[in-house]
Parts: sequence; structure tokens; C-alpha cells
Amino acid sequence: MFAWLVEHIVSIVPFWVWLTIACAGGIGYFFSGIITLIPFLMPYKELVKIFFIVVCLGGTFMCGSDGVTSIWQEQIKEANARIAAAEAKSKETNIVIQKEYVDRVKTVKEVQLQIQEKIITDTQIIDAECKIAPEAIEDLNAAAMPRGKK
Amino acid sequence: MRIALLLPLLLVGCMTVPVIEKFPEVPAELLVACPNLKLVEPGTTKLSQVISVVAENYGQYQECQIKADTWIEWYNHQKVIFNNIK
Repeated sequence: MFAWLVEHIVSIVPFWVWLTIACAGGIGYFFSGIITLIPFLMPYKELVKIFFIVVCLGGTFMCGSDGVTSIWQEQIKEANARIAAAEAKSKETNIVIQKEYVDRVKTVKEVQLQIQEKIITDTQIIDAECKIAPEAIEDLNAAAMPRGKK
Repeated sequence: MRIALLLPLLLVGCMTVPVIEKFPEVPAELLVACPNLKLVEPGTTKLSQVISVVAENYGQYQECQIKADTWIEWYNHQKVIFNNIK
């Protein structure tokens, strides 16, 4: 949540703002002795110093966050580019695989058609001296019945 | 105590890069299940009819064999592509 918040703020506010805040904090701390000479700030001398330290540290932290976020965004871009390239390659591979599959199935179907035509041609020769017993058909069908299917 | 309080603050920096990888698409032909083997008409006495059905079933098997081979080929290709992303 904290990281997300920092990243979100960093993405909205430009780097120079954080740098200015950090510098302002540093300069403020450096001149806090003079600043606290102002009468109404005089009782809060220590508080003013702490305030400038916090501003300086906060600004420095956000400067660092900005740098880290930039690196992170760059990594995301690179990762997305790698994924896009992989997806394109995957699609290309699919086209090749699909084409190979269709060609191979087409060959099988063509050969099947030729075989079926040959069986029709040879019907008289095949059936001439053979009569199938009904048990043979039952056994054959039993072997062809689907098993182990979900 | 101070360290214990600081640790969660430091750990929030450990985030994974939010990149979504989509599961690769499969050619539509491979998603069709293999049909059951054809059965010989009960009462058939002609060998030619039996051979015809058996030959058809052989063809069916060969188509399914190609499909299984293609699935293996698809998987191996996609695995190589996926492993090369990282």
C-alpha cells in the first residue's frame, strides 16, 4: 500500500519538485538559526530545525523513489516487450503447427478414400470365400467400444 | 523496537513487476476430441463391410495419432518460447 502510494505520487509529481523540496529543507536547516530570529518563530527553534530535517529527508526519499520508479517502469516496459515478442512467436508457431496438422490429416483422409474405393472394387473377391460368424462381429465391436472415458 | 517498526517500511519496496502473461492459444483443430471408433453393423456377414469399418477406424486412429503428436509438438514449442521470456 505504502509502495503503491509512493509510486502513485511519484508518477504525478515531477522529479524537480522533490529535488526542490529536498534542497529547500537542506537550505532551511542550514539557515534555521537565522530564520528562528524571527520573533514569532523564536520559541519553536528546535521544532523548526526538525521540520526542515523532515522536509529534507522526505524530499530526498521521494527523489530516490522517483529514480526507483523509473527503473521499475523501464523493467515493466521491457517485460511487456518480451511478452509481446513471445506472443507473436507463439502465434507464428501456431500457424506452422496448424498448417502441418491440416496437411497431415488431409493426406490420411486422401489415403482412406483410396482404400475405401479399393475395398468397394475388391468386394466380390473379398466376400467370395468368406462368411463372418456373428460372434466375430460381437468380439470386434466389443474391442472397439470406448473405455476409460470421462 | 525501532528496527521492528522500520522493517515493514523497508519491505514494501519488495514488489513483483506487474506483468501479465497470457496462456498461449491452441489451434482450434486440436481442441476437437477424437470420436469413438466405428462399430460393425450387427448381423453383418460380409468381410468387405468389416474391412471397410476396420479401415475407417485405422484412419481415425491415424488422425488422432497426428493430433496427439501435434499436441506434443505444440507443447514443446510453447515451452521453449515461454522459457525464453525470462
